[in-house]
Amino acid sequence: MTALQELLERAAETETVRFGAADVRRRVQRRSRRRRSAMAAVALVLIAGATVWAVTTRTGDTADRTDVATGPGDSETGDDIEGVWAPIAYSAVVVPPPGVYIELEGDGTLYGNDGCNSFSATWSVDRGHLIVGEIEQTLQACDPEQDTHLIDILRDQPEIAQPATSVDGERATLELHSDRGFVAFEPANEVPPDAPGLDSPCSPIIEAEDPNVNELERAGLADAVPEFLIDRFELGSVICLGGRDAGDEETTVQAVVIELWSDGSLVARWLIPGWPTGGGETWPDYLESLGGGPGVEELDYGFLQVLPSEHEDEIRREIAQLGESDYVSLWSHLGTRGA
Amino acid sequence: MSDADAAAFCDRVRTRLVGALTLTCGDRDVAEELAQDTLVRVWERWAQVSAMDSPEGWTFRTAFNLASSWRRRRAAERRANRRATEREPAPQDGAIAETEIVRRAVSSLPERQRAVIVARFYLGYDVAGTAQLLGCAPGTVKATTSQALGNLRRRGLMPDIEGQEEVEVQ
Repeated sequence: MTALQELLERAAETETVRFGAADVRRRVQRRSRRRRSAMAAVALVLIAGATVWAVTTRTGDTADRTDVATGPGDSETGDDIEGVWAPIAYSAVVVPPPGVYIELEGDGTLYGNDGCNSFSATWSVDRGHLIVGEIEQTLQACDPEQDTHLIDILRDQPEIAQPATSVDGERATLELHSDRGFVAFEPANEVPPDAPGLDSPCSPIIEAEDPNVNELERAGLADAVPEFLIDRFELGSVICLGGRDAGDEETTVQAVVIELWSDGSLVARWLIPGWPTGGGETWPDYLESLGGGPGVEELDYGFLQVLPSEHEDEIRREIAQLGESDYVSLWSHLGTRGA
Repeated sequence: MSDADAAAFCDRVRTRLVGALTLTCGDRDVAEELAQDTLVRVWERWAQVSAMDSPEGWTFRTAFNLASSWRRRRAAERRANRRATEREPAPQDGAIAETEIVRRAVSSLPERQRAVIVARFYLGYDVAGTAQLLGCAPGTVKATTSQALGNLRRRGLMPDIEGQEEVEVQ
């Protein structure tokens, strides 16, 4: 074994791995349940919509609709608070960040996200109080100002408020009260997405099925790759860059690298001919350090406004030279050459 | 093709997977999270993955891709929080552990160099296997290995690997 191998071995495996196959199985089951819940919610909405449409079409009835309460009723057993809840009000002076939720599952498992970390615990109801077991959290580094109010309240074994009615008078809410304040929730149809930014202007975002399958191929676009990309490369169009580590060396790279990532966050990565690489931490940082770079007028994380550039012809030529095989791998890399 | 097979596979690769991701990300906790995410994907596609020539290869490749996504998200978070935090990690007292130095050194490499180093010198793939794993030409693997080792050496973070390049890069 070489010195480097020994160093890597020591650096990689100094602690015991804290999860096993049983944990993976639980995550798989959880994802499956979420999918089923989401599909059921969609089906329910479709059925409800179809029913309302059928009734109103058949009878012409325009009378006020009857609201069916959802959410908490008699919270002695907890059966009536199962489901996904999104906060609508905190007692603390904060606005719940997007993506915050708790999910009370029928098997006594609680899942949630506080806007930064995901967490899980057991839950039950005892004499009108939500009893939350030890909360296990992911350990993503968060903003120091990250609010912990939600988890603090959950740890307090909060009292479940009697069925409440939200301000619009239609939807039942769930309120958890403790000495330190309260959190009010409303029912949510499904768990919010973990990562923000799915409203990317890089449409169409092709939904991922396999993170290792080139999405162009999966979408049946591989055969038309050059044309497809040329079509996409329209001056003034917005192309997603994503936060990407910068290039390798202090050298000039003349290349066009195109990658399509299955999570939709990175649709294309462009090394514009004539741009030196190296030194930057991420592409946006790097481009920012260049003052935007040629052809770049507006720069924000993940998005690059491509404007008329002196490099347009070069870029088009590079794209035209790419072959289908260049897209098979996420690591496709064409024409990199040092200055 | 049962759940038991998938479970056995998970248990067999998890240590190596976490190790590879620890080197790739430089953070043990993140590595465990990503490793579990990876294995969830393996489990969900076990019928297909188990029929592959190298289920481990697919697994590690998925892990590298998830690690890349994580780095992109982290970069976004850092940018979003930069003005709010504007602070660097507190300097540690005394000498930094060797393991931490190595993790930092590897995880700070450019993406492809990082993947090549981990694939070749931690996971034990040869040049051809690494090329297959990463979807690039063997020549690219060799060149990238050379660059990565040069980077590690130039940064002075791992003087122990002096001369490694000549040994490892054919």
